[in-house]
Amino acid sequence: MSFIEFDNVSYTYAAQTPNAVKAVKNLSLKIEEGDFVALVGHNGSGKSTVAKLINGLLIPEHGKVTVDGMSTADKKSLFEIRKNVGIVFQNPDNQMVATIIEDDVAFGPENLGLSPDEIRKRVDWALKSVDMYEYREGAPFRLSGGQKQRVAIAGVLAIKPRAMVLDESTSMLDPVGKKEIMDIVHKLNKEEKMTVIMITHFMDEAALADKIFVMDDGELILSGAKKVLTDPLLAAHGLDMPPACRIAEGLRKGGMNIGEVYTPEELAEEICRSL
Amino acid sequence: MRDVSMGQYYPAKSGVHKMDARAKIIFVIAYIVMLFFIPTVDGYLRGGGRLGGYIVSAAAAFGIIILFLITAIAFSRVPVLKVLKSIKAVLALVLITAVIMIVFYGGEANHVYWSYGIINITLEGIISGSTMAIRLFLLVMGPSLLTLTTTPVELTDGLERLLFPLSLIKIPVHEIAIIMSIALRLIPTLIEEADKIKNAQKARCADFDSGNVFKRAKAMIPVLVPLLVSSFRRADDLAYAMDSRCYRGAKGRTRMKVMKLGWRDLVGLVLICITFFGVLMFVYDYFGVAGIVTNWAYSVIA
Amino acid sequence: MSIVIKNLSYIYSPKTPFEKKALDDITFTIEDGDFFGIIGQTGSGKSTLISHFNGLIKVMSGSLTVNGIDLGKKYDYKQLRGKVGMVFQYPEYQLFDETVERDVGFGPKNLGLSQAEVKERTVEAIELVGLDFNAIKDRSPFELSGGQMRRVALAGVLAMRPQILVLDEPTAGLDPRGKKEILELIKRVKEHCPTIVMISHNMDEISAYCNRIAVLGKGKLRGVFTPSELFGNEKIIDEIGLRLPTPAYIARLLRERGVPVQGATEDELIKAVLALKGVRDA
Repeated sequence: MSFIEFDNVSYTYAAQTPNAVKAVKNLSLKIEEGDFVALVGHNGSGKSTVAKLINGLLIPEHGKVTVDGMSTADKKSLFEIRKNVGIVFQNPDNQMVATIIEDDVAFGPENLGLSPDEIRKRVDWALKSVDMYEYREGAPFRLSGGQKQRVAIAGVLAIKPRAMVLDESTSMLDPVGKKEIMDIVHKLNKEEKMTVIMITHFMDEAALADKIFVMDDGELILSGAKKVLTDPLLAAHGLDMPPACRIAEGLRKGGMNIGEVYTPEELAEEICRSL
Repeated sequence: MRDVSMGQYYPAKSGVHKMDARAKIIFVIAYIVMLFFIPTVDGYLRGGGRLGGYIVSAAAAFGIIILFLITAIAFSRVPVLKVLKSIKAVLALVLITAVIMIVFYGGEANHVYWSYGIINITLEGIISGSTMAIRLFLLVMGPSLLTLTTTPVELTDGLERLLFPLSLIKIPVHEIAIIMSIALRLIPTLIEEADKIKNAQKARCADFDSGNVFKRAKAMIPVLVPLLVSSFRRADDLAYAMDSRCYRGAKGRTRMKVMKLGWRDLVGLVLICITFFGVLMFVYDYFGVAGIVTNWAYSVIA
Repeated sequence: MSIVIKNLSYIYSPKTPFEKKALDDITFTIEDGDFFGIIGQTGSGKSTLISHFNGLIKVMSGSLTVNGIDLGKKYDYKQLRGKVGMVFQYPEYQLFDETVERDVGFGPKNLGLSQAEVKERTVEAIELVGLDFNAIKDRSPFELSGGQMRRVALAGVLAMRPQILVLDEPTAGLDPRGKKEILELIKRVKEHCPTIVMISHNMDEISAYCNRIAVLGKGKLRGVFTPSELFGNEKIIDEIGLRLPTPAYIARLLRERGVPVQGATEDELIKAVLALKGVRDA
């Protein structure tokens, strides 16, 4: 049994009204603990709906979502499920509850009913993990987008979940902020063994994951390891491959022997090797 | 980047900052109540007092309260100017009302300087206007010192705990407290957003500055509607985020920052009691102190 | 229809503890017909600079002449804002009216035009952004998709028939397909509105569409370059802390390993590497 499982899940927004939209159609996928997963697709492909289905913010109309064996449809399990899977959303401004940063990071542990000392320990640890400890007594509105998202991540970390979902968490950030978040996420997966599920439309971010799921129009069209990123089916659905892959293709067409690459760094290595 | 400093928190490590928020809130309430224990000139005279007696009692009572305020400000390490700044908001209103009171005074008066129709400039009127102004200024400075020395979180926490008994009769105290706390958190964000929207509409030649009150109000619709719409979206997002972080209301919720009454609160209690007693002493002439002082004052003047 | 900037400086909240020098002695000119890019990190002064162009910020120090109008002296702001259209980040957040037609007509209406004129421009603008006027005119802007909303917001500015269009990160928050669509749309719009100024963080976009680029750093102008000048200039890139477009980044990685290639676009890079291989094989 996998850590997170989607079993034939469907979900419709505004069901039974004239504006009904079937966002997710018969989706099945499995995520193991420790995985670094990317879920890619256009806006409107259903990927953000998947994020909310994972921790029971939305309940499937058909099929089942289970986290560590517990079903999200079971109201009594929701608390446990949310202890295990945290979500960092897209808008840095709309996730903070408190006027002081350390109070905001404490929000999660406070909801868990932990002792004040334990909460303090977790808040300090979480803020240090995202390199925002020195800002702990400050207010959110003076921070940059990247900093706010780091605080949001700290807020989720403080709950000590086994998995973290990043729902397009970098799409409203500038390049500096994006890099900050990607570095932290990478570190969490490698060092803390946290299961990371990155929902994104940036193919170069997807290239950093080990397992990739591609969605279009509510359906899963591809899943697998990084090789998925160069599958021709992507182009058929209007998705690009990562730029490094495209350039590699161009070089192969020109007769060069370039191995499997997905990031600019890997490509540079291969080019040097081949010359 | 606007700096919203209306009674905004002023960070410092002072005794007052470290006091329990619940105690501070109760002290401010007591402070406000005290201010209204001091009678008006009219009330005092009608009660059979002499004007001289009123001047002495009121001056002494206000004096004690001002002493208390100064002590509190000193212990709080907040610059006096910051506290005085809170008067700015009501300055115009209070002064205008005071002037109106002085010019059109209608209470009992024995020392009339100039009278014509409804215009009635008297000593009593001047004193009445002055005491009203002093009372209102002091009224504004007390709560201002409270918000300067207490973070919004502490305030809402303190209120939530003070109002706890109400939750026993099914009033949703925790929910109200968290609503207030989130509202406070969002104020600077909303102001910033309103500015952005305003600029966007200005770029389309919207005019916010000319025309009468009605025209200007109507001109704000292109700012208020988007702000409202985005606020609903924001509320949705925030609700999802809170749920995701295991929020389930007050059930089982603990706090990182614990409120504990300490010796500082005891000191505050003692000071407030002394002040209260002093005020009452002069207002109700306990031990005849007010009477003695008044007679001595008259003997000196006459 | 050019923008002439001379020694422009601006300080926020002067003489207070929050004083911040946002612009420091900026001098350059945006020529008529330019697709002009402005880049720089967050806090470099980009937004402050463009807010001067349509008079949202008054000139504090230096001189600024837009379309012949000296913004240091008294001028008709309606005339200015009719000529200089400004589209801010996430413009869909400013939609407010009951129907798309009315929202788009807000600008022309404020210009004091006749009902017939307003209608004509509204139709023109909506069609220009690729939407079907009759299908969309009576719908509420709030029930449209994100991409449609952005187009409607853009139409609202185009309805004023500006001569200069200033866009602050027009592709922010869009997926790759959406980004491409908006940029192609802007390219089309250039035929009607000759001068375009675009702020962007995305180097790939800037290098693909702009003919000249101003680089800002900490309120100062670091220079005005063409794309190839800029991406070959490692000193500036590092100093400002910019992110190179992917091909240029790979080229740089290669140069660090002793492989001498240049390439600002994917095709350039592929050609350069293949050429080098050809030489080395021979």
